[in-house]
Amino acid sequence: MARSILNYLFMRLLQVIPTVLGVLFIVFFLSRILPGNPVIAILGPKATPENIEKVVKELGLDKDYFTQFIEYLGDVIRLDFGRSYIMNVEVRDLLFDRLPASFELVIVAYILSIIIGLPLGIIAALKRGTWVDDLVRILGVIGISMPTIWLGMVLQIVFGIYLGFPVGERIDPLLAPKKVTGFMLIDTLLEGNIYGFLDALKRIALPALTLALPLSGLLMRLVRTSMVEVLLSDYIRTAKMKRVPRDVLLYRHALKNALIPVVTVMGLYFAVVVTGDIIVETIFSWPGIGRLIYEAVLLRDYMVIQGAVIFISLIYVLVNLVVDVLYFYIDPRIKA
Amino acid sequence: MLGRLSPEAKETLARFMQPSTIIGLSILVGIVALGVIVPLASPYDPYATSEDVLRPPLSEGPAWPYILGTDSLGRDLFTRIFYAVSIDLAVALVTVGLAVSIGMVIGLVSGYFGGILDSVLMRIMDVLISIPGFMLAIAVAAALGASLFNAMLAVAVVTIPIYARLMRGVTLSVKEQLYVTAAKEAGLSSFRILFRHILPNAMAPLIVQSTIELGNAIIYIASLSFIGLGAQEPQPEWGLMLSTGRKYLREAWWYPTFPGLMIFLVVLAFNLIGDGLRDALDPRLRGTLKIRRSIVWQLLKSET
Repeated sequence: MARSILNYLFMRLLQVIPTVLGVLFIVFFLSRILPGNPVIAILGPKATPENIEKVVKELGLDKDYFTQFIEYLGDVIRLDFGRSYIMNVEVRDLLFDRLPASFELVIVAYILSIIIGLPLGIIAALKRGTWVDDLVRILGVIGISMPTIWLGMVLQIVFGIYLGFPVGERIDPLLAPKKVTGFMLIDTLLEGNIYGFLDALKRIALPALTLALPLSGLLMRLVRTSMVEVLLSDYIRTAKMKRVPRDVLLYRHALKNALIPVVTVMGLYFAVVVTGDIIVETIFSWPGIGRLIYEAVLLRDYMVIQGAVIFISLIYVLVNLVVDVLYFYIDPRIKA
Repeated sequence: MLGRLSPEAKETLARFMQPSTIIGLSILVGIVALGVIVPLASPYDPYATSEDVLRPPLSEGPAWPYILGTDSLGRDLFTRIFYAVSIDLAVALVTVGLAVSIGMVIGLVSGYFGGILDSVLMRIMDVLISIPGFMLAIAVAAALGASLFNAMLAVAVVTIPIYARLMRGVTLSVKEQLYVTAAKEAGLSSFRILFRHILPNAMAPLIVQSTIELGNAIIYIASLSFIGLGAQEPQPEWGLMLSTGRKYLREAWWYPTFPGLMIFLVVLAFNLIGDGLRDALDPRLRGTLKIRRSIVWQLLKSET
């Protein structure tokens, strides 16, 4: 058993290598086809000739492409994403600085979407073919059709402007806790700062909900389908015939299997979140990586855009790796 | 009129007339109709700005004759929103069309010829699919420069793997079938076999997938416009209107609300039609969504 897991993990890690190389190659390629001079894209339109020459030397742009790519690989392995000349900081520092805010938002959004999507999906599956089922399916399709750009603004208009919810930033600066984990909700609690906690909670609620609602629509549909599939399966019929009590049947047999797609979603959620995240953080002035990308696009700061794309793709690949390993534990069928 | 149809035709028609298809189609037809009528009939120019006191920027909100209010430059929002219908829909159609045609060819060739070609092409698709789509679209759009056309290219590139994988799967499953072997024996060209004998098998899933992707393309493009990498002022495009409207949330709730509502309705329409078509074309999947990792993947990849 342990050996097979190691084997599996090893094979899976091997698969990651070409993917990561591919991602790096694409980003490298894109940065070299930038219209005009890549250095101008890096330095911004107001670059002086001396600065341009300096940066060409510094980045090794006068060498051939192959050498450039190899050097570039080395940098990325050391998590060195270069320097933003426009914001005048190391891209790595920027990214790590903004990471906790995005992580916190994603985690809260994820919890919310499970709270909304999972029970509704289960209920729909149990009441298949009734109006409850129809209602959940309608909610589901509305959920997945909801554009984040719009949902975020509607929530902000209704809750932020008309109901006076605090919007923007993660916490009132006066209530800000000392940085321990970087997660406001945890740091305030560690300090026993209840007011700070409540303020942070209120501020995270709307952006998290904006990310969570479309996802919960998807989750609802997935859970419903997989539950229905399981409920109609042979082994549930057998269990029924063996007069396994209904509760045990539902929770131990059916639900457990139905949770498999939920775990998948948890990992793949990242692609969705990254998309929604850029928009949501922009709308709610949330100081995470998404907002950083938006700022970088506005400033045409290609170093930051490039760094963020690589960074997020790496996280994404990692998350999927973890999900695959989790799968291995949850779904016995994969072991074969 | 229906009376003349043969019983089979009636049955087929009935199969396609799922409630969700009907609702989706009605929404879409309504919006498209308004998108044609409003630009023809509206007394307002979508580009004409105004300093006229009777038509102030951000008028008192929706009130006759500016049904949905005016925007920050005194342009009639109603007119602009429906001018945008043709732009947004055309953009979505072209984007998906481009991605489908390229993805289709890659999938067909990859599945049919196999070997090294297949491995190489599929590895490339794997890489494309393992970068969060929107991030890649941003990188591409930022590299190419901010314009609606480049945004379309970016989204098309990002979505190619969806169709390539779909097409490859179908090709693999039918290429060993007797009629394909027969066609080969008869000396037909690979080109003919691919397009006349294999492609038709993939039409159903391809149509379903691209219908749903039309909605996603609209969200993608609108989102790119929203962060400044798509449509540029003064083009009437929903994402761009939302983006500008965001600055006036407090003063003019209608400005971002209505363009966003349009995006929602169009995406909802495409999703409903897609669901309905899936039920009609693939009875095995009726009312369900097959839970296979690849499909969950595609779904997620395309969610926004």
